Amino acid sequence: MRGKEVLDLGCGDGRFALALAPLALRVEGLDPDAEAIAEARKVARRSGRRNMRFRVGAAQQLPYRDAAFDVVILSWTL
Amino acid sequence: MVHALGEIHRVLKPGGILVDARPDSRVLAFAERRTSRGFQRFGLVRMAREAVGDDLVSDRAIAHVLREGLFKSRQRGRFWHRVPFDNLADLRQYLAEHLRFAHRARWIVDLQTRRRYANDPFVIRRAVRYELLEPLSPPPS
Repeated sequence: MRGKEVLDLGCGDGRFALALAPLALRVEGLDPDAEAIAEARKVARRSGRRNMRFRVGAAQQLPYRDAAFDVVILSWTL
Repeated sequence: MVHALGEIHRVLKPGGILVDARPDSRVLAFAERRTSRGFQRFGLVRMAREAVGDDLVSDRAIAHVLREGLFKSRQRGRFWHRVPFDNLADLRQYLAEHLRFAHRARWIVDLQTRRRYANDPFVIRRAVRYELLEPLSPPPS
């Protein structure tokens, strides 16, 4: 994960993304649950990490450009 | 689900990796007491029927994109994951609320033993399967 651009798909409250952030160049988290994303944003703010971003969205229509990530993680998601 | 995998293919760089990790519902989970020397098995935990069905759908989606040449499998395997609990009551509460598991364990120790050690720390040990998938260029249509 070191220096990679990572998408955590189905990120929930962002705990996995938070663990990846110190290693990765950039971590994006996406989840359809707005409450979970609000919590993830709070956690990200508290951590002071500036390379994390969270969005509400669905895997069927990813709000990212083509070839944006080195790694996509489906952890407990599929 | 296949459509979502198509979207993942689109946002991955060439040579990138998709990591798919999820509980392996084909394998029983175990309720275990933590002892000073390791773990003592107290019970078996089946997966909920719905979870098994969901996993089958996921497996089919992965098989579909492999067959279609959208991804190739780089590595797959399984590891064991322990979910810790302060005591047996907490473990039972977790099972009662968790959608992936059957709501009750099948105990393999007697009631007396369960009562004697009810305040010890417990774990649920469950199998997690993972697969690393590399995106391939989509085949010419």
